[in-house]
Amino acid sequence: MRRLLYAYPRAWRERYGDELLALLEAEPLTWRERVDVLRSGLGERLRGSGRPPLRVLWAWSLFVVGGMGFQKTSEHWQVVVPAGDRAVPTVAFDVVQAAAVLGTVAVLAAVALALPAFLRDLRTGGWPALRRPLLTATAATAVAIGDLAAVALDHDLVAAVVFVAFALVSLFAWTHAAAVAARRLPPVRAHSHLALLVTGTMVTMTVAAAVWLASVSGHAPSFAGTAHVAVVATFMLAGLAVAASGAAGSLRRS
Amino acid sequence: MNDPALLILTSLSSGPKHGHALLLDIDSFAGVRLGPGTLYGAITRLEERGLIEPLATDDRRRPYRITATGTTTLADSLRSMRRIVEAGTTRLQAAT
Repeated sequence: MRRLLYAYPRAWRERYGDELLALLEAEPLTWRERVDVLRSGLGERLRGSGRPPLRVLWAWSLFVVGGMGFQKTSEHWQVVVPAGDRAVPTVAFDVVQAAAVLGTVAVLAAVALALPAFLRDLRTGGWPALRRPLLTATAATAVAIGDLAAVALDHDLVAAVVFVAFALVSLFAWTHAAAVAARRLPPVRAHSHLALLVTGTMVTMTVAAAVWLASVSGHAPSFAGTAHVAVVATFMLAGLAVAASGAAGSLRRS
Repeated sequence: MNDPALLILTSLSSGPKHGHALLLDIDSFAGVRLGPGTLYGAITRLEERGLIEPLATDDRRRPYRITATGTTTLADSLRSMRRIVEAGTTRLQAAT
């Protein structure tokens, strides 16, 4: 039962955790009630992630997964579209790539802006709080890289699946580590503006990807594959939803 | 104000209650079984807005009571809902 509480952020658990646990233990829980607790906990995490730019950082991570799916799905799309009809999908595809580059630059700029304060925090006693998330992220990355080597050598399907799984774990672990580190630092005003810029690139990519998909599907309806499109759309839209909440917060504060 | 918040304020207007007592009371007067997460999400928001406040307790089951602001907010919401109910009822009767 107590494990359900881990859906909530630590600060919330410290304030309400015992009360909620007492309530959960009062009667046998149905599956619907368990889902309700998980959903509410994740909602508190979104609200309680504190600074809106951090929500956009999480959104960007979700979006990166969608972007990787888009990249894989769109490989060799020129083969199925006649040369004379490539203008619209080419522009849409180029817009997706340009927005991805711009978004990445904005995220890296945000990291660079936070770096001096982060290093100061590490030098002045911040390491114990950051050790666990940083080591977890490093370990996940090491496993992913090791598995990538196995994939390159053996072309093994299981190793490929394990690599994808650890690449995702690694991505989210680094995002978590960055969020933990950022929460310890003084707010940077430019982060709000960068968060808005990143959100803008995500909206642009979503629209452009949809235009690209529609125009390519017009020539080859089964090219992208329903399952691939569903996975890409899920991560992109989830990322957009989280980014929208972060961007709204950034707008209110900027 | 959203429904869980209104239900909680209505329940607390008859006296302080802890989480489980709130669930049972709301079920009895409204026929609505709130999920535990929904209940505590609403409690969190109501406390942030100063509409309810926790009472000291040694028990894990912390009771809450409605504040003066909460009472005013509840009264305003109920007045607004009453106007909607009256307008809807009148219009339905005129239409049938």
